Formats: sequence, structure tokens, C-alpha cells
Amino acid sequence: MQPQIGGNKKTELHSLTICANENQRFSAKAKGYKMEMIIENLGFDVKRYGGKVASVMAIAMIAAVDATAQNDFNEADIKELEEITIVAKRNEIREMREAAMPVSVISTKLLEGTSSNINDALARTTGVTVRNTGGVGSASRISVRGLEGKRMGIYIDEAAMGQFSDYLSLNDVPTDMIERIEIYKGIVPYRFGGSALGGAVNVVTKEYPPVYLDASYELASFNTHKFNTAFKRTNKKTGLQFGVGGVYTYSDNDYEMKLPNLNNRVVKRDHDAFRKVMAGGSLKATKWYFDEAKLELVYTNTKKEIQGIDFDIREAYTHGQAGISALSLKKDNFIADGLDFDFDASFSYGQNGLNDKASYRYDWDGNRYNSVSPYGGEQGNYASDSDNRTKDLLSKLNLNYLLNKHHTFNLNLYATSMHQNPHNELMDLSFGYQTNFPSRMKSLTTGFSYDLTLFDGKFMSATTIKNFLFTSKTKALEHTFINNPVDIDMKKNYWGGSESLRYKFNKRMMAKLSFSSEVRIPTSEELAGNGYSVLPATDLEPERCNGLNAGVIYRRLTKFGVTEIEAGYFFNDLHDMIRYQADMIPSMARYANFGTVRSNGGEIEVKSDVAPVLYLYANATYQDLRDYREHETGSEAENPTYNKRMPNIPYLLANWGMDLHKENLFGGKKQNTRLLVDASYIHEYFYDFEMSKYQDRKIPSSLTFDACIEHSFNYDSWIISFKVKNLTDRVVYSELNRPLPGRNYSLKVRYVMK
Amino acid sequence: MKKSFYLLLLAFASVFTSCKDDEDDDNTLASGKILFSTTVTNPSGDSGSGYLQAISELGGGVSYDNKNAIPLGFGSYPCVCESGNIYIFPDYMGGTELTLKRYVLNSSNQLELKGSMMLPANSSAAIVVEASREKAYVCCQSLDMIIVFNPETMKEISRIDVSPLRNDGVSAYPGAMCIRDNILYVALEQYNSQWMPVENSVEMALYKVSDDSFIKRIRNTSLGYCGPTRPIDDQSIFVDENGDLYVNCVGSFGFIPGLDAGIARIKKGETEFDESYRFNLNSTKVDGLSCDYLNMLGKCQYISDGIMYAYGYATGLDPENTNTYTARTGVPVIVDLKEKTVKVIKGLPLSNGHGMAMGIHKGKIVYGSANDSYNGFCTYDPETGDIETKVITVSGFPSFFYSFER
Repeated sequence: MQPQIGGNKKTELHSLTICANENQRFSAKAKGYKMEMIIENLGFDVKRYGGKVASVMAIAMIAAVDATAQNDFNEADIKELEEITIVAKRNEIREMREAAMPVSVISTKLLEGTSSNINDALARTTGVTVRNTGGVGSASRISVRGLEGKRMGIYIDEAAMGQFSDYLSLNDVPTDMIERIEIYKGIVPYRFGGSALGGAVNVVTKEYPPVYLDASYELASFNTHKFNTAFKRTNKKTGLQFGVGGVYTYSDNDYEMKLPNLNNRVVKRDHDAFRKVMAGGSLKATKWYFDEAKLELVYTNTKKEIQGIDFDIREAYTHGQAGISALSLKKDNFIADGLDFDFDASFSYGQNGLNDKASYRYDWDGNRYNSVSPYGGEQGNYASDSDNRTKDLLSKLNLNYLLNKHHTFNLNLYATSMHQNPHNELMDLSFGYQTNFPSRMKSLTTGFSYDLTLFDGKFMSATTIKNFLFTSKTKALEHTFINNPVDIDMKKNYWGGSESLRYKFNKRMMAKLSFSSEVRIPTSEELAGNGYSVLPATDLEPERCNGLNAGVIYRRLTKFGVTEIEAGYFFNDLHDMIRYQADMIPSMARYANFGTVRSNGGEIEVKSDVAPVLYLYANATYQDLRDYREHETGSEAENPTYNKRMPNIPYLLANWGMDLHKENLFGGKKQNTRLLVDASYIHEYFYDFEMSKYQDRKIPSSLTFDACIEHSFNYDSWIISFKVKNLTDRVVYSELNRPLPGRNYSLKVRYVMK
Repeated sequence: MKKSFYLLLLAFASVFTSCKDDEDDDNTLASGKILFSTTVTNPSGDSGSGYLQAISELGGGVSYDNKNAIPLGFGSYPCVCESGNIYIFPDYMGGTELTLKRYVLNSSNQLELKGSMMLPANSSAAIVVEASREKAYVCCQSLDMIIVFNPETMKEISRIDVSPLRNDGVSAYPGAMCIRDNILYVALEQYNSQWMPVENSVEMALYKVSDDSFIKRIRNTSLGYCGPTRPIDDQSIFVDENGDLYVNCVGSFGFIPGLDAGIARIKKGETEFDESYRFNLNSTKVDGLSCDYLNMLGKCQYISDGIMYAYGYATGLDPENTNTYTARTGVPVIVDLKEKTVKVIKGLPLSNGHGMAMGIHKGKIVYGSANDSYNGFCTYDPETGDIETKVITVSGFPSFFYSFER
């Protein structure tokens, strides 16, 4: 069967033999199938030293290649190898990159390098910006080609997690459990569903062997502790897999920060502790009616103190807890031959809030001030002790029909239902009336797609038409200044579509081109607020984006590995752009439609195994987002910011790095040592629109280096890594001049039993 | 291949090392005796930034951009004192450098920075009044505090805590200030969390300028209006040629029916509100106004003989637009404080809530205007009644105007 290009299809195998003949042609035997793989075409890094087959990698390989059973394989030519380790370097990655849509892939090895979390790894990817606002557990926003925040689709194993972002973030997924991360730029694959614009991030978690235990502990600067564990056990006979796992993260985040608004005064953060506990279990069946039926349950609990920047906040914190359940059903040849069924549903019940009721505020000199509201509050004008309840239901049905090798049809239904019930008596007392109201929002996105494959797979086309339907029902204050709640009952319907093309000129060169006209429906937080810091914006219009993406990939196998060069161009015309912005009321924000914004840009990436022990990469992105409103709102007056660069969005970024690796560097056997260095550059950008030559509110250029030394024993069963982040101790700021940590260290020990 | 790879790396490096800002070698500020600022906002109008510049001529339809302007914090206007000192403030909502800056027009009529002083965070500083060359007051409204400082050295002298004057459930919220007879009059807004008054009372705190000691709090609930002064408008409290002190009370900005706007007076030699002077703006029919009544006076400029020019604010002028920042709700009016009448100046366009700059230039009343067709300034000649529109156009909403050629 031809694997779905760009897909996440995994083949469950429990026994596997890898063989090779003298011509370096490899074969695998599994459950009666024999498959031949030619090393030259795959780019696998095959190492001949003792040990067992890394079956999980092999499974991934098999899923990615044309795994047509080849019964005419001549077994006489096969020379069985008893000692072999296969490291799947870029096999799936290459398949992903050959998909018609622009996509970047972060592999396991990159993830396990200098990255402490997913965001670190994403930030080094071409065209991706991650803007953290502080240390561990701080809010962060991911943008692809300048289009950021909630318009990005965030998926774990293709299941959307956007609606659970109050309780879970990408960073909560331990890097140890990730097989790879796919970053789709411009167009979101139709099978993901939903209404994301600008792109998507899909985290693909690892497949596990019959018995698997993974445990790690990391000790880092600022009293940071991270403990992750996962245990999986598969019963071969019943095909049932049981899994349990947990994550505990704690950090004081008490690093020193320089405050530009306070004459560059240096203070130590003193109220930024973060604690997160997650625990979960899963049950997966592979021998029932469905090829795969999986049920997962997760509980998460978070507490995060609020760090003051201009003021010394001493008591305020946010909290949240949620129970999340997810059901996944998959079956190939469902009802009819060639019809693949894929269904996901998840439900979460959560509680979150802001506790901010201190009677006094303090500046960094220790001077005490009364809170603005007599009811308390350090952050702003009001006191808060919120207890917001949320119920989110999300479901996705994907039916894929493979008519023949040329034609594939896909129907995707993606439905969401959100119910928020905010409760904040103290805030209501501060304002003198009810400020937040229950809200309900439902959406249904229907996508129909057609894939055309011609010329022996050289040409691929994916055409998608989508319909977006959403309803919203709530009450909202027309003005936050006065008690005048109005009923909001909204129903909207939009159409969109996309076309992606790919042509492979030869084994080394391919080109991609895609167009899209998409709609993004506002999230519940954007429409109804979050009950404390985000005000409702019930008149928000959905965003519409017309985009063009073009790219060329050159890939060549060398005697040391692979050299790859990729260049891309993109253009987006975004209407009614939804933007997060500060409100007149201090510490409050809201989402608002900005108007028309155009983005134009290009990116280039080069990476190469330049020597048997050395891998280098470099990439650069230029993303130019400009205000395209010609006139002031409701006026013929010229818009003073017309064609000016959108503020607070970096526009010139670059990364480069190296991976120096050597087996048994210090003698011994079954050991591997890696030295990794990554550098990241972000060019200075403006906090506001660039109007005056005297404008000094800028986020300064930053050039940071991270380094890591990692040593593994017994074929990666034990891994010890030592990381230094911000090696040169540069003063770094993120968006809105949020100070980030200086040089910091971490030591991690990981054990994998497989 | 290896060679080309390194060449590419080199190319990247050269791109970044050669990246320089498009610096303009001409760093000279524009010059002139006319100051104006514009506010550039996002489309919803509730955040943005401001720009202040000096120009020499007001006329000829010249168009000014902000290239030569000094960036300002959003939400507050510069204060120009009789001494010629020009004060600019941090962003009213915070998030910018927390300094109060003092500028003057130098001998070349250019804005020259003379000093700066750190302010506490979240100050919402907006008004400066000078008692002498060595003593001035800056009002930190969100902190219930007034900082006493030396304008010459820009050093803090002391602090006056206004928070003991809070009423139940609200913040004292000191607004605009004025000095008369060596007494510092500080308006007390008594705002709740959403910057709204909760009752019809007009309150002020009085301090001795000589030693900053508290004299008393005055409070009047019989006038029937509230919100003494517009906290970011230094002209919303003034002393006329007779020594009477007038307070433009903005009520609830028109949001809450029954919490009205009006004009209060403290007569010369007295320190209590004049009960006999009542001028409720919400119940005064305005001559020439399509919706009859104003919600408040958003900006005012007293001239003489009881005549005050102002920007009236009436939500009824643009009832379909609920965005209070961008709706065309500002109307130029003439207020007769003696007769207690308000009259629309015909021929001047309606403006939005940000484009309410006002001032006097060579005997003419100058109105900033962010209207349906342009952002710029208009003039009204009190002698002849002549109006001139679009005398200059500007980039952004015209939010502040001051001329040293009055």
C-alpha cells in the first residue's frame, strides 16, 4: 500500500528482522511480509555494532517507505546480520517534505539536542518564531511566517489541542516522547480539519515496543526540576496496550532581569514560581473491529505566580486544572475497500482563574501603595478571585477513499462545542456589576478534498473546498465602563479552499506551489474573553486569508549523509486580522479586528552532513508584514500607518548550528557522544509602528548561543546531557520587552528500557 | 558542495552584518513656536502611540508627518506651563519608560530635553502644575499620589498621599490640578475600577503650596453633577481674569444616565464650591446641535469675559457607532459661562474622541479635527466668526495643540 504522503500512518509490528545482502540492499521481515529497502534511496544511517534492532525506528521506516510486499525477494541473497542498529535519520522527514504542502520537520535528534522543550526546537525552524514571555511555564506564542497565535493549528498526533490551551500547551509534551514535529506553513493539511490559518504544528508521538519505560529527571538553573515518565506494556495475544505516564515540572524562575522602563534597573524575579503536574493513562486495542482504538485520560493541574515587571507583584497567581479524555478510532478499508476511517473525539472539563486580591502594591524600592480597587488587586484596577468552568468537546471524522493510484478523495468533518461559565464575585464587586457571562460556541468545518497523482508520483495535486459554520451565544457588556449587557446571538457561514501542487523533477529536486483562501473562526477566548485578563470582543469578525506559497527543495545524498537546500517564498493577504492588544483598562487586553495586513517574505535553509561526525545547518527568514489599510477607520483620511511594518513582530531571523557526534569517543562500547551548538539571531524590531526617527521603543537585536554535550550508554539506554543556554549571557527581551533568562544550565539523566 | 555550503553561510553572515537601519543623517528636529501632537491608534482606537513636534506655520494646507516628532506615551497630553516648560508623560496605561520629561523650546525654537525624572510604575501621570521655578506637582492618578519635584533639577522632593481621601468602594483618583492663592486644588474623581464615578458629587483636596500640608477636602453633592476635571486635560480647571476658579466636570463621560456633567465654580477668596453657580451640561440645550444635548466638554480653552471655547462630546451625534474612540462625537462649541449657554460653531467638522486638540494661535481658536475626510487643524476667528478648515493636515489624530504665539 502506498503510504499517505505527509501522513502519520504507523504500522504495528511486534517482530522484525533486518537483513542485508552484499549490495547494501536491506530487507525486513515482519509478520509474514517481506520488504526490501534500498539504503541509497532512504538515507538511513546504518551502524554496524552490536545490539538489537531498534524496532521502533524500523517501524517508522516501514511506515514511510513504499512497503509493498515483495514475495519474489530472493532469500538466497540475504545475509542476516545479528548485530545492527538502525537510526532512522530522515526517512519520514523526507516523505513529509515531499508532500505538496510547505512543511518543515523537526526530527528526534534535533529535539533531543540543545532544546529543553518543544518551543526551543520550533524556534530554530525556518520561518517559525516563538516568543516566550519569561522562564519555565511562561506564556508563549508561536508564529509561522509572522502569522501568529491562535490562527496556528496545534495538533498532537493530528488531534487538535487548540481548545485545551488553557490547560495544556505544546511545551507540556516531554521531548522524550516525541517522534517528530511537523510544521506546515501556509496550508493546513485537510485531514487535520478545523479552521487554522497560516499553518499548523503537529507533534507526532513515538510508537512503543511491547515493553517500554522512559524516565528522566532534569535539574536546571533557577531551582528548576522536571520529571517525566512513561510506561507502555503491550499484550501480544490480545493486542492491548496499556500506558501510564506523568510529568512534574517546577521552577522558581528567579533570574535577574534588566528593566528598560525603569532606567535599566536590574532586579531579581521574586514571584514567578511555576508548578505543573500531569498524569495520564491510555488503553489501545489493535485487534478489535478497528485497526486501532485508543482511549486516553489526562489530568493536569497548574499554578503560576504572576511576575511583575514595572511593579513588584507579590501575591497574584493563576491556577487551572482539567480532566481531558480522548477517543481515537481508525480502520482501513472501512465498509468499502480503499476507504479509510479515522475518528477522534475529546472532551475536557476544566477550572481556571486568577487570584489577585492583595490590598497593597509595591514598587521595586519597596514603597507600598494601596490597590486601585478597595477590594484589592496588584495587577490592575480590580480584584479577582475567579473560578471559571469550561467544557470543551471536539470531534473529527476523516474518511479517505483511495480510488486508485491516481485519485484519492477525502471528507473531513470537524466539530467543536465550547461552554464557558465564568464566575468572579470579587471582580464584579470591584466593577459594581456582573462583568462576565456564560457563553456557548459551536462550529462545524466541512472539508472535501481531492488528490491527484500523475507521472509515477512525480506530480501531485491536493484540492480542498471547505465550509465554515459557527454560532455563538452569550451576553457581553457593550462597554466595560457601564452595566449594559447585551445579548449576542451570532451565526456565520463562510466558504474557503486551497490548492497544493508538487512536482519532482528528479530524485534530487522538487518544486511546490500552493494557493489558499481560508477562514479562521475566532476562538471562545477571543470572543468571550477568559473571565479575568481578556475582555470579551463579541463583534469579532472571522479572519480571511488569501495566500500563496512557493518553494524549491534540492536534496542530495553524499558520502557522509545528506545535503539539503530549501528555499521558499510566501505571500498572504489577511483580512480582518484578529490581533491581541492591550485595553485602556490596565492589565486587561482584548482581541480586535485589525483590518487588512499583507505579508511577503522568503526563507532559505541549508543543512548538510559535512563530515562523518559533523552535521551543520543554517536558515534565515525574512517576513515582512505590513498594514494595508489605506484609510483611517470610518474616514477618508489617510491611514498614517499604511504600508508600514506591523509592530512587535520580528521580521528578520536566522539560526545556525552544528552537531558533532562520535561513537565510543572515550573508549568502551555501545556509547555515543554528541556536542551540539545552536545559535539564534533576531534582528531589532519596533514595539510600535515606525513613525519617527526618534522612536526608541525597540526590542533589540539578539544573538544567542546554546550548547549541549550528551553522552549515551548501552545504545541510548542511559543518556546524560548537560546544556548551557544563552551561553554568552546576553540580555534578551521578547515581545513587549519581556526580559528573558540570561545564561542558565541544566543536567538531565534519562533511562529508556525497551 | 562543501565549498558552496560555506559560501552560503558566509552569505548569511554578510546579510546580517550589513543590515543597518535606514538611518536618516538629518537628525535635526523641526522648529517653530507651534506645538502639536498626534495620536496614532490601532483601528479600535484604544491603544497606540503619540508624537509631538514643533512647527513654524499654521496654514497653507501643509501636510505634516511624524518623521521629525518626539514619541509620546499613549493616553496623556503634554502639559505646557507658563514658564515655557513642556512636560511629557509615560504611557497612561504603562508599558513605556517611566519618566517624566521636561522640554523647552530653545533659541532655535526646537524642542530640547532639559531633564527627566523617574516616576513610579502604573502612575497614570498626566498633569503638571508649577508653583515656582523650583517646585512643581505631578499627579500620579492611578496611585492616589502627587509627587512634588524640582523642575530645574527634575528631582523628587516629596510625595503627597491622596489615598486617605478615598470614598467607600472607590479610589480617590486625583485629576487635574490648579494653584490659586498659594493653594493647590486637586480634583478628586472618586472613580471605581472602570474609571467611573458612582455618585453625583464634586470633590477636591486643598493643600498649602508653602509646605504641602493638607488643608481640607471640599465636597458638594447638591450641584447634581460629578467627575471634577477631565483628568488628562490641564485646561479643565482654570482661573478666570476675576480670580474665580472654574472646574469642567465631565460626569460619567455620558455613559451612566444620571451621573451628569457640568461646570462648577469656586469664587475668588473662597475655598468651597459656589452653590449659587449651577451649569448642568446634560440638561442645557445646545444651540445648533442635532441631538440637543452634550454629554460633556471633552476639551476646553477659556478666553476671557466668561467665554470659553470647547469640544463638546455627544454620543447622539454618531449613535450607530458604539466605539467611543472612533465615533464622530466631538463638536466645536462656544460656552458662555455667565449666561450658561452652549452654541455650536457652524462649519467646523465633527471629530472623534482622539482628535480633540484645542488652543489659541494669533488670536484664533484652533481645533484639531479627525473627521470623515482628513486629520488636521481648523481655526475659528472670535472677532469675525470666520472659520477655516484643513489649515494643515497631520498624520494621525490631532490630540494636542499649543502655540507660543497666542
